[in-house]
Amino acid sequence: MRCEAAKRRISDALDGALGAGRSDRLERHLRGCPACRAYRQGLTRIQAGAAGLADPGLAPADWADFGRRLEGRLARETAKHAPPGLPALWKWAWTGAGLAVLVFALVYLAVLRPRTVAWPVPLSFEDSVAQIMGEIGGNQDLAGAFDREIVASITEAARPESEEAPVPFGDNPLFWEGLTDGEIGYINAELEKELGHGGLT
Amino acid sequence: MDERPDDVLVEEARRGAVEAFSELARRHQQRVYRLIYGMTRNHSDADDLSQEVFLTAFRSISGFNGRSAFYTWLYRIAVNQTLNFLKKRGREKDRAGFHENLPYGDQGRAAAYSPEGNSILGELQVRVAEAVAALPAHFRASFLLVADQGLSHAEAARALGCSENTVSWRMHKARKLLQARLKLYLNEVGP
Repeated sequence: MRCEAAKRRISDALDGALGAGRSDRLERHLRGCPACRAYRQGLTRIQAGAAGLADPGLAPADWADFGRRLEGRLARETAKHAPPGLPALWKWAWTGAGLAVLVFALVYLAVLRPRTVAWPVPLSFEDSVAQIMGEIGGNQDLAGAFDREIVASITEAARPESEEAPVPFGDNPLFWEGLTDGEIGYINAELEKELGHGGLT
Repeated sequence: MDERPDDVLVEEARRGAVEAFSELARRHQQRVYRLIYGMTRNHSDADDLSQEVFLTAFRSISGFNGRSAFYTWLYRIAVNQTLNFLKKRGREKDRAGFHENLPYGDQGRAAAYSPEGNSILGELQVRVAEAVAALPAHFRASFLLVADQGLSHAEAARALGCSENTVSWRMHKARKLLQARLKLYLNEVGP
């Protein structure tokens, strides 16, 4: 084994990273190499001097203070990335509801609002006549036209009922043309019974 | 004291339990701080970076796949952030270059060295700390994880994002550099 390889193994051995087989070979080399033995002795002393090498020497109160500050920063970090809490949700809900009401009101007023129509107040018969007579006033033409309308309406109402009576179906030649011989025979027999003579001739 | 194992707390933290993550942070804050302090040798920087490491871990805990130990994952974040920090600050440039044959006295004594604790071991620790602080950043990170924090090569490899062989090689090189730097001092004080 060369001295450079032995020095690498001395370092590994100090770190507890040398297997048993390699350790045996190293020991054989060291028995015959005073320079490497001196090197190992120096490293062993350095290793002893490295104990507590990076001890910061802080008191328990310093560690407690470090921990408190860290917990404060962790809490702030958590709050920064936390989802909004209930109060914030309520605030957003109320804001959203207010906006929705406002939008609905604007749409209602602009588009959906029903148009109001000023329907005339219905008048009684006497009031109607009084209003007409007031409008006619001294106008003879209007008075004459009104009289004619009145007379026409009375005439219409008094027309005899016979003028509007329907034509008896027996007078309609189309009725007789649509009957079969059996139907004509039946009608004839009924008329004979009712009228007491030869029926249809 | 919460006695639940790390993996249970990690699972709860992944579901958004801040308390579970706080407990994980309490368990590992000293390890992370120690590593970063070893890299920066500055309490203010170590404090800021350690807090950032835990915040980064908290934000990305959902991406932790659990294939390695939680603390190994934390170490990886810590090493990456610290290396980026040192690169950004240009502190590596400001450091004294590593001269293998430079006598230790020319580097000056560490400010942390106190005359009261001037036993040979105490001075050796100061010398080692100075020498480690002068190592290139990647070597320093490997040395701190393995020699100071006691990680195996495999664990350090996961924390550093490299192979075990690379960790082994870095440790070997780091020790050679430390040996060269401290040779005169070690010879002076004797075995």
